[in-house]
Amino acid sequence: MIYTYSSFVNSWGAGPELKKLFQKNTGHDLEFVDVGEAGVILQRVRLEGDSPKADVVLGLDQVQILDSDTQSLFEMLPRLNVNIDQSIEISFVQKEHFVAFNWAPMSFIYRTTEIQNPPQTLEDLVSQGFNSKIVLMDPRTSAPGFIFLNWIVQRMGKEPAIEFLKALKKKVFTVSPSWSSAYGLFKKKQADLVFSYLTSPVYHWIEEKDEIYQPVYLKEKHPVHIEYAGILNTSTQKEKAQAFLDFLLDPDAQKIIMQKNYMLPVTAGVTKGSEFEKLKKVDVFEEKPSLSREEVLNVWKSVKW
Amino acid sequence: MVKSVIVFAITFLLLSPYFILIGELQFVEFNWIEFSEAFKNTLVQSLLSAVMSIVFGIIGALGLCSLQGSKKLKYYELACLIPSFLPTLFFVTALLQVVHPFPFGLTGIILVHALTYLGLTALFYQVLFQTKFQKLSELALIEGAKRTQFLMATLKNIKAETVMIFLFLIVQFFTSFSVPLLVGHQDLTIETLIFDKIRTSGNLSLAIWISFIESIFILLLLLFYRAQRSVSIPNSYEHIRLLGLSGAKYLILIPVVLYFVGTLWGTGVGLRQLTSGDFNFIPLLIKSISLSLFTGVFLILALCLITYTYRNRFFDKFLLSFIPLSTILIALSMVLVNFNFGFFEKDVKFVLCMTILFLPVLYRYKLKSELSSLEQQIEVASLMGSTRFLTFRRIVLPQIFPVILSLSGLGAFWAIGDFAISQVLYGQEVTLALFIQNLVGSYRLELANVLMCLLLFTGLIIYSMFRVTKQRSSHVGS
Repeated sequence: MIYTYSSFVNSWGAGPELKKLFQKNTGHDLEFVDVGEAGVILQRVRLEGDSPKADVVLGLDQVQILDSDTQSLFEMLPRLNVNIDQSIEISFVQKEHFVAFNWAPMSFIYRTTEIQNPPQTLEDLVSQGFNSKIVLMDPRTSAPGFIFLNWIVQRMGKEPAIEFLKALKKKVFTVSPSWSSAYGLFKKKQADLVFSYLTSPVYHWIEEKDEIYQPVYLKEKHPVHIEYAGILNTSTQKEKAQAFLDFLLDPDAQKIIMQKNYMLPVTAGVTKGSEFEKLKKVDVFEEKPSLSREEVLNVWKSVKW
Repeated sequence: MVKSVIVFAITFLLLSPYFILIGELQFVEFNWIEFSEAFKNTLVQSLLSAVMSIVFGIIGALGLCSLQGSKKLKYYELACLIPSFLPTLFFVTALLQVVHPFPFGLTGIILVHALTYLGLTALFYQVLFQTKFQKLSELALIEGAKRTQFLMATLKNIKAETVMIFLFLIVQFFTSFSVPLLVGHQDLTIETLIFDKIRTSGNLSLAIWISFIESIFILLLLLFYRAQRSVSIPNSYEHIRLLGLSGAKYLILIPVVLYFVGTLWGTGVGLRQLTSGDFNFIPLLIKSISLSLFTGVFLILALCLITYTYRNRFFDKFLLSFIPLSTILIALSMVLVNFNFGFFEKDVKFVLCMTILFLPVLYRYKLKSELSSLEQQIEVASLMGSTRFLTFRRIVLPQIFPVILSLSGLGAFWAIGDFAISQVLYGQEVTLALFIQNLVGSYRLELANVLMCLLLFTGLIIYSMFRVTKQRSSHVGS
């Protein structure tokens, strides 16, 4: 049994096709359980205590897996034996207790009909005329929102980050509680720029045949959102669970995840011939856990939104 | 004895999430500065929103009074319910589409809250005007009173009920989560704080403590409230038209019109996705309908049981002040228990969760004031030696049952739109609301919009079914 988040397991997500392929490849059955948002998965596991029903947890991000309490819930994993895509470093993919199964750089998304000269640096966001045109996410309630704030704080330092956010505030249309509501506002043309996945435009290119949606390629390093899977200590089917993690990095499985999640694969060669190849390669910002989550959030709180 | 068992059972049911999660409660370091900041923000926005909703609601009710006896009234009543049903994102984006420039900040929060609850508040006042002032309006009509004179006299006489409505609204706005974040640019609210503790900090214990303090606050608010006895004067409502203000009825339509105008965006794309997609949402719709009806029927039973316990001051205060835990916590607590209902286990849990969420709201919304209006009759029956059961069966229930049906219909209407509870309980995409929620999370906002209209329409049909039953039982009652 695998605990995961809603959009992975729903009709549009990768879950249903992965399940069929896993059964075909290994003969093992599996069950995905939608636990809601990624943030709730760990709560569910903790509440179930010594008798959690799940074997695998899928969908934790790079911030969640840093917590030592979280790590103690999961098994140590063997070394990976797959070709990792060159755009992401092996240190991002292989962790002691977790393995990454997809990722994406984060950036701002815009429509070419509204913005002809997209920003090239973070400073452009405040110096160019985007008054009330940007949608952000609240870092207290949204994982991408926290990634944005953490990036700003780590790149600039605490005090300059506060100054930058105060300047950015004038350009912000609203701060949304979740990625989906932020992107919804952007799609409804309430804003011209939204902080999202660099891969988000691929959805519009493929599903809507609409190429006006484009990512902002910054001249600096982009923050990333990486999603991980791990095996719970309490699993009674650890071999099958490990087989599932190995399967997740199989090129066929990675292709399904890429096409359904609109995120980048970690295994090499999967994007070949797809729309994802149109995305330019960007440098990735490496987060350092130098500041606690609370310290990062204090920066946000000191800017009166 | 029976009364005590009922009071105990319902109190236990409502408090059960607290009991289940009590093992998670620890003495934690409480950040009072953070909490007081959140509390202040929440209090200001909820107080102002409640005042504005009451102002709009009274005007809307005058519009509804002008429709008394008209066939159009039921359509306006349905329009009153729609905004409170819609997911915040849909309503807010529709508003942003239409209102330019949108007044972000405190004004924005009050505007969205007031528009969302305008209909419900208007319905509440309409019933009040009908049941309390029909006879007075006859007299006023004969004496040649002006509408404004009569209205001022009317408002002075419904102070106690207005306090009840005010409390009902305060509780609703106090627990509002998305609106302050989307349009308020607010720094911190109580619900954001709870959300942060549950989902990002992983501090369940603190989240439960904050919910608990929130409940205590509402309880303290109620200590200042003393219920007044009121007299029920049902039968013909014809002369209540004296209060009617024809133009005000259009105010009720504003939120609905704003929603549908905003929703028109992307309908073409959504319909194309609907017809070209290889998905079958009919089983999901059937499941949504069955869960909604199941919830409605259970609410009828629960509200009847509460009615049986009339004139229990402790229970009354408890129901007025009770605030359920955060939705996520209620759902998680239900995951931890096992009822051994086999195939229907999750459905039973769903209905119990809905009951925990809606029962106190429905009680505060209408049942409390309706029961108060029967006080005199109950007292007379009691003085004449009638037993509790006989008074309940012959006096209270025949008059209250139509209201119970209507309230249960409202609960069923809200239940069909739930995705937060069902997501945690079922772990699979089993209802149409969950499907819609997942569409929003996977870029397909247009299709979500189209299906939301379908779900809304289905919810209104279910509510109308309960209303039809209500009318029939009213005839039987009379």
